[in-house]
Amino acid sequence: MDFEGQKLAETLLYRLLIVFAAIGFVVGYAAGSFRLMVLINAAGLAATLLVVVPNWPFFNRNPFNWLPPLNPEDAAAGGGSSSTAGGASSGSSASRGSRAKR
Amino acid sequence: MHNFWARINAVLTFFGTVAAALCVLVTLTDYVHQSNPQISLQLKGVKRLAPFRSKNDQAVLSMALDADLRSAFSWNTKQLFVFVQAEYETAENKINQVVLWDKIVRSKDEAVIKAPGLKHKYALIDRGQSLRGTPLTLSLVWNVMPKVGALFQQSRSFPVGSLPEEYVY
Repeated sequence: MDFEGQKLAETLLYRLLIVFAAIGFVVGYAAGSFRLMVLINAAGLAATLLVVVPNWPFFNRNPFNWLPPLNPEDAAAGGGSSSTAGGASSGSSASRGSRAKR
Repeated sequence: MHNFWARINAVLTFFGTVAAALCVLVTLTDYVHQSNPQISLQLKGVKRLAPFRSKNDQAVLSMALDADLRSAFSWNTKQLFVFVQAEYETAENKINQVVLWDKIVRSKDEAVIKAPGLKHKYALIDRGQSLRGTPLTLSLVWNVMPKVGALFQQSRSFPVGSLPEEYVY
């Protein structure tokens, strides 16, 4: 499930549960039946679980766009070559570099 | 919301919150429920008014109860606890309440009570000997037990006159 899908799932679960509760309350009160209200809410809970919990395809419409992978071996090789080049260019700079290393 | 269990948890906990809010709403509807029970409660006669163990007065009454409590049921009512109560005032105690009879009404069908010869389930015994000549009030009280919310009680009183001035055996 991608980030947009997670946001959608959260919005859906809030709206579904509240809508079923509202319908259950109004219908139960109108029919004078507490049991009917409980049943409508139970159906709402079942429907919400079915819609929100499985990783449906519509939760995966915005796939992650990862940055291209960094290869750690390439990075290490590039840093090493630059330091050796600096050391070979002049003796004074090499001594300064050694002091800095301490 | 990133995995299966997190979503199940989110749905169930939010359902709990919604259910709690619904319970509050349902309780509020009981405040606008109109109940208009038809009740008649009469004292038919005093069969006996005599000392009980020489220190207290006991009265044995014959009553007639005709009650239709169906309108006391709202959609949120689980059952009613109905009882008949004798109330009187003595020099020693301003308020005396003695339960004479009770019944648990579990459904609307049972809420029509017709008892032309209602007898005591529990004895009417005074603390002391002050029953003679005392004005008596019979009350029908119904305790409403809701499915959700707090219990509450309603009643209707019927002044039925005074008990006899002399002992009746």
